[in-house]
Amino acid sequence: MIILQEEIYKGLPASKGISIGKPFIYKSVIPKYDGSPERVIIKREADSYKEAVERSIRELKKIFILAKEKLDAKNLLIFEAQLSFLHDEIFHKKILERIRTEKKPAFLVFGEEIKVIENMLIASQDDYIKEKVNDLEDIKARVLRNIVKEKLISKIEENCIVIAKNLTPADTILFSDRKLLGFATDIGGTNSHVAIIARSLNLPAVVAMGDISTHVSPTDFLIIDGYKGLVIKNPSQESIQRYKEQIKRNNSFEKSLKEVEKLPTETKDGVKIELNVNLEFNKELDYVLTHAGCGVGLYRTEHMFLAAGDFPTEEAQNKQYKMLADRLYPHVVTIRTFDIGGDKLLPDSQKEANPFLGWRGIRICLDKPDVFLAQLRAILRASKKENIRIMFPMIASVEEVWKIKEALAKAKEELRKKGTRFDEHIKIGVMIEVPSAVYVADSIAKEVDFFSVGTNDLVQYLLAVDRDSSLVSGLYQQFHPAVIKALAAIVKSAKKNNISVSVCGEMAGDPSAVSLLIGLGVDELSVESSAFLRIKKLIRSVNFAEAKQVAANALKLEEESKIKDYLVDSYNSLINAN
Amino acid sequence: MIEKVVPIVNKAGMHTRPASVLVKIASKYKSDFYIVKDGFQINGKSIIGVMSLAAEYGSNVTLIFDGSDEKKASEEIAKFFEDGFGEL
Repeated sequence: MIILQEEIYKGLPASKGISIGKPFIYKSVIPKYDGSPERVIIKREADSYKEAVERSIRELKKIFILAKEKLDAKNLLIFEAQLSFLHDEIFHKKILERIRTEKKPAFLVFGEEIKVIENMLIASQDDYIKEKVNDLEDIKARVLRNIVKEKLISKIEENCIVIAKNLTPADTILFSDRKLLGFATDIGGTNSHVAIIARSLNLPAVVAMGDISTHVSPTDFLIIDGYKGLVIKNPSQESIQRYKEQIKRNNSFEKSLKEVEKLPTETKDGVKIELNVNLEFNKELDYVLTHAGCGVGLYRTEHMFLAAGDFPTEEAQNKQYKMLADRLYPHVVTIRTFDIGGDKLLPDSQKEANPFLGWRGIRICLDKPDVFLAQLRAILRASKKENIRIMFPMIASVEEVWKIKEALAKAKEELRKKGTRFDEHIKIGVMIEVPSAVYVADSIAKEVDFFSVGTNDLVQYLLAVDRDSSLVSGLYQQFHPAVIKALAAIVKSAKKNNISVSVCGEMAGDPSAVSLLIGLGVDELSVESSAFLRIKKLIRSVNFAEAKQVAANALKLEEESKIKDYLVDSYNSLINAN
Repeated sequence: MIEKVVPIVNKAGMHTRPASVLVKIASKYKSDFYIVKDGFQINGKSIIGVMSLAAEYGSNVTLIFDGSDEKKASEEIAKFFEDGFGEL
């Protein structure tokens, strides 16, 4: 037996936990053929080609419908042309014929056929025609990506640690209902999508590892340490033993958390704090029902959009919302309307330079009344039991709130006309995550029933730091004094107008932030379900009067590092006292 | 079978829009429809085929029709070419 030297790779810890197992190396960014051309199953290749074409058509149609008014005539024409390419039966026949007779994989045949056409176009004397190569490149990439994706879905190995260069939100959806052991990626920040998903699935994740994806091969064996941000390749027996013991210890700590399951969520001196969970996947629901017994402070609806090639229909949405409302009753379900970014919808040629400052969240919903009204009706129809709240993302001004309320009134009127019953007094709230909303919080508070602070985006917008850029991620400081002051201002506006204020961002699940948030006067915390019991236990050990003092002291400090140290110290003394 | 040689008379040549209109027209007819340029023959009912001809302004192409409604098809399609795809 060959004894391999263990190799240790370091990155940023993004989700706690330890796993030991084989890697699954996930590649999707650039479609590249990695199958074995000598073992082609004709029917499978033909089906995968047809599926990929159909999927590409669905994608293009969705983009086309959604982005119609946003694209100029030239881009619109390109779309129509691309769609007609995909409907070219003669071309498809040729591809399928070649797959059958040459026993070649769809990926290669399609790529070759497109290349032939591209060469003919390039040979043209006419510059205008030469440009058409770009149209073909777009369509080629789309179809190839879909062929590869089809393969991937059937190929994802379970009980593995996923190793990837990067994972897009759509990629992570692929993994959400698989049994996996963890994630390690070359790039990404501690708040990137993969990190959030890993935390919600209670799996370890390490990001910003540099080039781990090029160093790991399928025959390796790994340990992933989500506490320290390590991946150990081909670990020694001693390392494996040490980590196995730590897993055992962690499990017994998790067990000790169980004792708070049935106890109320309140501070030591009896102040009730509403503690809810953030929810994205149905898979998490069972855990919430059996161990947390709480409501949902943030239900993300984007996954329905990302998973389907299309916008989910009103019926499909209604079914999902109703299921949540029924199962979680009498607890509350806070449904956030689609918070998708324009970069996921627009074609490459129309991509925004700054998607985070672009067409996203409520901006898309207000531009697309059909999509928005369908979602509002789907939510309202599920609200008969009066335990649903609606929350709107990315609000920057009070005018947007007025427009939202107009749309909501319209959706309600449509349902009344049909005689459909719903919660007439359904509560509505807005996410406070755009800095302008902090300054006009007083005006917005008069229009809504609650605020929910999305700390991830608020910090990113307030400090002008892209949390996913490894070059500046060090400047992403969630305890920056400006953030603390903004939180205090938001709570003040909410209290003045008698509405409740919740924090649903990552900060709510950070143990060192609990005293601060409670002390500032936040009424509700919504955390990833994996952090629920830990935060609950912590709230039960906090004294409200002391928390107020912690908040007051933090507000006086002028440097992030000092604030952070102070909060960690107060947290440690809290833990030691209990 | 009918064969017709037609020139490309619009400045932009056979680009995306006329190609998609041409395919639409050709698909109305039962007859087979081929276009030949510089020795290449493509199926005129395939937009990808039509685009791949890269037929630019000033070039000539041969249209071939074969089928029960070849006469009507050749008339409508030849006229579409002569009108510069409606872009003159």
